Amino acid sequence: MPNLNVFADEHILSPAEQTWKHYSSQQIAMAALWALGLLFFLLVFAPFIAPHEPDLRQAHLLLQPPSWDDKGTVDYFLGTDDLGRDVLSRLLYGLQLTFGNALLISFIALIIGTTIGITAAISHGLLSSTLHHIMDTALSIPSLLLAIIFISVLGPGLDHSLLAILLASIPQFIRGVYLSVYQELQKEYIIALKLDGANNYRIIRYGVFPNIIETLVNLLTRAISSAIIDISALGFLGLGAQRPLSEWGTMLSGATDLVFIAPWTVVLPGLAILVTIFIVNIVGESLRQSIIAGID
Amino acid sequence: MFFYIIRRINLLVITVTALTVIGFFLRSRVAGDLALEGNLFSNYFDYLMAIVQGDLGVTSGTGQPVLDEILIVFPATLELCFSAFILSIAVGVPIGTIAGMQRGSSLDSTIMGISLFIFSIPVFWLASLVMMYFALNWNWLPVTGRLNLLYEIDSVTGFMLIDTLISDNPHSQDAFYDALKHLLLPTIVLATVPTTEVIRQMRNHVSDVMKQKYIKAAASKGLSKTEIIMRHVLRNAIPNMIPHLGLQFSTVLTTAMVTEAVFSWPGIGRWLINSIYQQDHAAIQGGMLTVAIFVVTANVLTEILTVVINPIRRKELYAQS
Repeated sequence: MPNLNVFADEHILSPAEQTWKHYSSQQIAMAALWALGLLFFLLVFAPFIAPHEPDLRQAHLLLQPPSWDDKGTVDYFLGTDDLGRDVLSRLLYGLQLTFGNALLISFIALIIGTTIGITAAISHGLLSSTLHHIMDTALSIPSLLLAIIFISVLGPGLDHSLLAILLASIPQFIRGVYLSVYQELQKEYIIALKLDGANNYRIIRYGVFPNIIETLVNLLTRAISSAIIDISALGFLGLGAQRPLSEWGTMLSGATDLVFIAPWTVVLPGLAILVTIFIVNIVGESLRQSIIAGID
Repeated sequence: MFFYIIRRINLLVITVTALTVIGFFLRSRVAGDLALEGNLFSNYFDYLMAIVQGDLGVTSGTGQPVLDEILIVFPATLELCFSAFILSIAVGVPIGTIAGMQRGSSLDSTIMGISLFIFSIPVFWLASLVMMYFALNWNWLPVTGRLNLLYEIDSVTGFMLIDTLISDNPHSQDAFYDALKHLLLPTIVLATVPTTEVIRQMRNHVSDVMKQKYIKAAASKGLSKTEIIMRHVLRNAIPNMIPHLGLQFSTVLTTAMVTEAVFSWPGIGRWLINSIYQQDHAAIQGGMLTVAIFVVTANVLTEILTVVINPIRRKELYAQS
């Protein structure tokens, strides 16, 4: 089909297109995005991809080395651990427990935190001041410590640790959203919107929201990576997911003494955590810069 | 200014009250510890009075007063935290300044890429690997604890480095080096994540300062690069770092709890986690209160310090009220 655009009118890119154009021009960011897509794929299809049951113990296959080792077999691609369980299957199921739960928690915290943050920013007086004080209180304690405090009340366990990390990460969102909405509301174009007769919903939806997406991306990135760290740290300390769950931190907690005879059981879960957080951070940070470039 | 400080202290009081409510809840689970006649409020009031007098209850594990045990383990944690904190500033500030001076250059993106990578390392994993290889396999450094059991050092301040120096033990010099060796690995592991944060913040602040007109003015006056950095860039960037450093310290303190568990460092983190395993409610309550109150107080102090040191922040406050 011939190019029918006879007139040389320039197509003006929308902010979303600008953002994508900026984002897709960065090779590392694109690679990280593909890797994130792969992680999502593995997350959803882990039960179908995993070659074995994660808890299946095979007494005759203890500490089988990975397939690239001379003694390894392809059936157990990443080897087996000290109870004869397939490391690859455990890592895949662990992806759901660690990364999946971290995503879930962060999105719930995003929704709750953004709602409360916006409400606080558009309200005045006592409500706003009370919220502000509560948030300052909760924020002054680091999330892992807050989670440990909750667990000391509730007792160890995966559910409790997830609840604790959720409760600990909501204040970060409220505070971040509150501050950036509050700053946007001071600007002149909001006054222009108000003079046009826009109600609160329209001011937030069309005036403020497009300008706080960058903040939301930043907060979400931080929340996901700290949720991964916190879930696995609590699992490692024995306060979160309990054995035999194949949460990555829990997998590490039993295995550190195996590092000399079976390094793969120690190195692989740690690498999985590292790589996941790294990918999330690269995508988040590049996306944030692209959004800034898209708005400008 | 006065109102600002009142507001911050108000915040401190509210937080501590909220924490004591949790503490009260935990403590009331310990059977026969608090007299549970009367209503909830008078019980809570009795509890507050007991805390103020330093009575945090008795651990169910060893039967010692909780406060005595905390006074032994908390200085160990603080020693570890301070050394990691100092290390992260000493490494992070210069690197962050270099990256910020040349923002957008390949050196800058290399530094930021590496620090993002290091930021992603789970600290308990790094701690286990480092301990296994450096200490166990290659025998370079001691594995666990704070001091070789050969040395008999009386605890005066609770800080091992100071105690070994002021001790009248004939081998106090050797003991000092031994304590230093024990401190080295946990410090490096603990300092990794905060260092990357310091680098990132420092780089942002330095590059913000570099955009200012007075830097251009200084350059056109003919000041050399070092003079500009020393006289203008650092002086304007470092006061902005103080609030971040305050927050970093609380992160270091929490990360230290995980690091301690790996290195068997006899600090409050390991102690608290063991108490959680044993469901020792009095100990959990005491440890939680101590750490949380310390963190909150440190934060409030940094915020006040920021305002006192930084005239620009002070100006903003005057404009507010």
